[in-house]
Amino acid sequence: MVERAAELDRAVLMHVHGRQGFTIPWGRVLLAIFSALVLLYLVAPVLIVLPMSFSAAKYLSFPPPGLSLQWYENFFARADWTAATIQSIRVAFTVMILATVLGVAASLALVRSSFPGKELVNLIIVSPLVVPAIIVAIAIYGIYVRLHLVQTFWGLVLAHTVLAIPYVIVNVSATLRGVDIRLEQAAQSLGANSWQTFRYVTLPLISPGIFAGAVFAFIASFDELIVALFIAGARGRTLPMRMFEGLRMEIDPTIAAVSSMLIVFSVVVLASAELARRRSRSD
Amino acid sequence: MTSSEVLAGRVSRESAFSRRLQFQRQVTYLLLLLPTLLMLIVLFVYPILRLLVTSVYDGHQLTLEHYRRIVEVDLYVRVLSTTFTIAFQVTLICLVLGYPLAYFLATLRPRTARLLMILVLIPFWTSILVRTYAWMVLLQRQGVLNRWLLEWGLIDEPLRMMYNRIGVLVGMTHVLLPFMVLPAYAVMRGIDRNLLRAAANLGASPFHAFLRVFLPLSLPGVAAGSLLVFILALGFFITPALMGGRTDMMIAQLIETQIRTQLNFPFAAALATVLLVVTLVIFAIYNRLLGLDKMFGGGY
Amino acid sequence: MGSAWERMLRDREHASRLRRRQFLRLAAAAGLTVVGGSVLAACGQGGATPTAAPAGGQTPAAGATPPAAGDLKVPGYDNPNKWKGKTLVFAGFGGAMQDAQRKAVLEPFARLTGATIVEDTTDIGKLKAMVDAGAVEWTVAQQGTFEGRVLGMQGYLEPIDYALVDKANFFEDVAGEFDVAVIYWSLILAYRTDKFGNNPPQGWKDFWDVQNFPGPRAMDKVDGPVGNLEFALMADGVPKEQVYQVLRTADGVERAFKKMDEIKPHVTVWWEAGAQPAQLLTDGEVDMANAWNGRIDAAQRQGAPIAIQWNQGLLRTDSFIVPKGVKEKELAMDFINFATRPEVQAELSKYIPYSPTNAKAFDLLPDDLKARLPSAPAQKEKQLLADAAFWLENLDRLTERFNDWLTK
Repeated sequence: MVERAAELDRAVLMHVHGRQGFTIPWGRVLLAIFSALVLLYLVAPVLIVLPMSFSAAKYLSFPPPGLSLQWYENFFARADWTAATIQSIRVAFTVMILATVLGVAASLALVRSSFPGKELVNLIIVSPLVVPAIIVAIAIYGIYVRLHLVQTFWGLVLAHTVLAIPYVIVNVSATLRGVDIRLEQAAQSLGANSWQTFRYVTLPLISPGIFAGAVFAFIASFDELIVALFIAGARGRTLPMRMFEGLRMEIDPTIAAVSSMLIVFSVVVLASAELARRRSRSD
Repeated sequence: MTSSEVLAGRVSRESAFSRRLQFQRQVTYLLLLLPTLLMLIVLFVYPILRLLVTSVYDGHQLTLEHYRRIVEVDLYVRVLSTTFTIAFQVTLICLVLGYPLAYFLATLRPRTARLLMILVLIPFWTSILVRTYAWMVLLQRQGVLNRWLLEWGLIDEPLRMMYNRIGVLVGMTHVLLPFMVLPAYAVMRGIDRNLLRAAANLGASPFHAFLRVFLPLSLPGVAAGSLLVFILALGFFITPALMGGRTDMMIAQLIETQIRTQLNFPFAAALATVLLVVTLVIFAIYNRLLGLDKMFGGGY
Repeated sequence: MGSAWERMLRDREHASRLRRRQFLRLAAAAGLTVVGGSVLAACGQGGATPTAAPAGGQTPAAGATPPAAGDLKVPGYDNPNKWKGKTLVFAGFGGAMQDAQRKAVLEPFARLTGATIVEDTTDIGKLKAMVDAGAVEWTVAQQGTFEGRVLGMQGYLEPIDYALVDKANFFEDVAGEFDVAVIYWSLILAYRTDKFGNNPPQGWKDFWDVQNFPGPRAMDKVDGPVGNLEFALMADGVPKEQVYQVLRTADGVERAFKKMDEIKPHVTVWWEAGAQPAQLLTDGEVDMANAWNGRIDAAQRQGAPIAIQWNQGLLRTDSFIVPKGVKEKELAMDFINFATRPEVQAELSKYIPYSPTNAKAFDLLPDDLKARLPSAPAQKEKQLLADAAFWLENLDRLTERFNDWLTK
């Protein structure tokens, strides 16, 4: 359907240019070159970091004077790096589950019901996305100190969940609005209770949104630095904190190796999200 | 009892039943919302309100002393204006780079566009630290870019691209460009191409068709992207700290310094309040003009 | 070329095996959290850190490998039941610093006194909250000396009992009313040897002298006015003994900022992160910088052509403090005494190039290590000791002034 629109679109363009006598569409060529340059700008850091991570040099240099896997070995051999990675995965995974469960439930309520003050609730829910991290960090730190949640695993998880929930809600709500409510009504008229309706009708239909939201929630926590800097403490140090420390305190390409692995990780996640999207399309 | 009376009784019973069902459903929905709402109130709204109170209440009395300091000391006014200037410049650059890219992607076959979109999303999902680090390697005096330019004879002296405004803009634009491209692309995809065809059939040149038809229709996406980029840029902290020069200090850095080295929580709270109010005002404009569902292209 | 590739392929095979194993461990760890919750998370944390290589790869110990911790003997600590059944909670800075302390201080103390040691991470807000609530969890915490003295003035700390802490061989200003300095570090002048090899800069006068010592400079932004103002006055000819005397006058502050104006156009980078000056010097981005000695030391060990000029450096300290209302006060004092014994401080310096505050520790250190430590006699006499009292009083005001000056 959308593809056909694009075909038509190109046909229009050809038609338009055809009237000008089959000249090369210079405007379009320029646009393509410009776009390619912007895309190059977007991926340039990735293109730098990957080769540098295989450098045989002792400090950061590009191009690398020789190839080696020493920085990857260094990463896996050093407990401070691996412990931070494990901590980040542990936190992000817990956040993902919490935020997804809470966010899906909230999305159902926000899309399927109306109540006074809903707009305010919506605003509150989305605002963690736009309030600067430094403000969230000092505000949460201020009450965590009194609740004895500073430097605890669950303290960090809860704070990150607040930041991650909006991503889930934005994604799930968008798909949920696209679900034909009559499907749910049909299921209920056939005797399904609310839970069954949700489990067997709504849930499969919104699963791409849930998946996307969950991935976002994971990344939101996994990448988060500033709030973690204030409340995680050195013993609960996350990977971004370790990297920040690396940037502040050390000069070796281990950080390039970590970065490369993170980039590969995000490509894999992106690709699987794309696959999930395609699969849900073909259903 | 006539049959019609029986029928009427059943109908009224049923409607009562369905009303009760409706009520139950509403209650269920509210129960579903409650945990999230409670959590956000306890861990987000309340802490921020407390921060605001800290900035005006010293434990005994109300005071505007910290706000007076922000207004009266040149430094803070200057940092605030730097913050706005940088956010504005970044928004402008994102617009100039992002609009054509989104337009180009929107004219491609969806499958191809989706593939290229991965290139937009990869940096989007790569840690800010990683990217900052890569830019340092690329842009510094002895960096990759300068060395290539020198080798090709394009320049005689290394260019200064780091530790000044250029570094800040390059780094911040890189982080924020996807926030412009995604909503713009989503809106452009939704524009009915038949309108363009109609314009062409009516004799409009492609440029005219673009200017008169496509551009106005794409504005909501552009506005959404611009406001989002501006809001997010205001709170930046790591990129200007590591890539900027001495005059590129932004307000978030100031807040961090107050807390870290001076332990001056009330003053930091006042600075945070200023930043927060500006952010929320723009956010409210955004909401009023465009609605929250335009955020992040609605489904990305 | 060909052999490099072969080697890389071999390495890659080895690494992929390594990575697979690691991946399984990561997966297991991630899974555990969901099942077991915070208890397992806490165990994982405790178990993960102690295996860290001492001070990490970046700050390798002096050529010689440190002796096993089990060998360390400390006079006066020979009763392994002295603190049996007592628990000492130590809150340090974490990272490489605490890894080194674990080996050189915490583990020997546990072994020699029988105390059980629990580690935590220091945090000023948390310390204030626990004192305010009357529920003090930490026995001893670490802080920068400035911060420690602020806390002491505000009434959050126990006074140090010098009947239990032997300060006989401490350097000056180490024994505070509420804090005991345990390490020195230094903000020094670092330069590229290939640039100024035959005629190295001798101090801040030369750092300011762009005619005879041309080249871009980097300066410290993260410490704000601390250091920069002292350096400016010394560059202006004030002898180091009189720096704070001059800085205490309004004219002195003006004089310092005026001198700072001179160097401003030649400073291309104001650094925010401790690793930056070392990286900038290594890359040739700048030719001279003021920098933290530990980072420069690490870069030198990696073969970077950088040298330290100890002349007119600024010596600073970190302190141990005891939160007010702590239950085991005597244990806290005994631990601080232990941590400042020459044997223990010398041991710590072998793991990480932070410098002893007990003068006697240098009798136990090899010469090559002594040459790298900022408070070793040869280096110490060339430097200026940061005046905590001055900065306590003026930090707020001068930071504002410095930031204003900087962003103009």
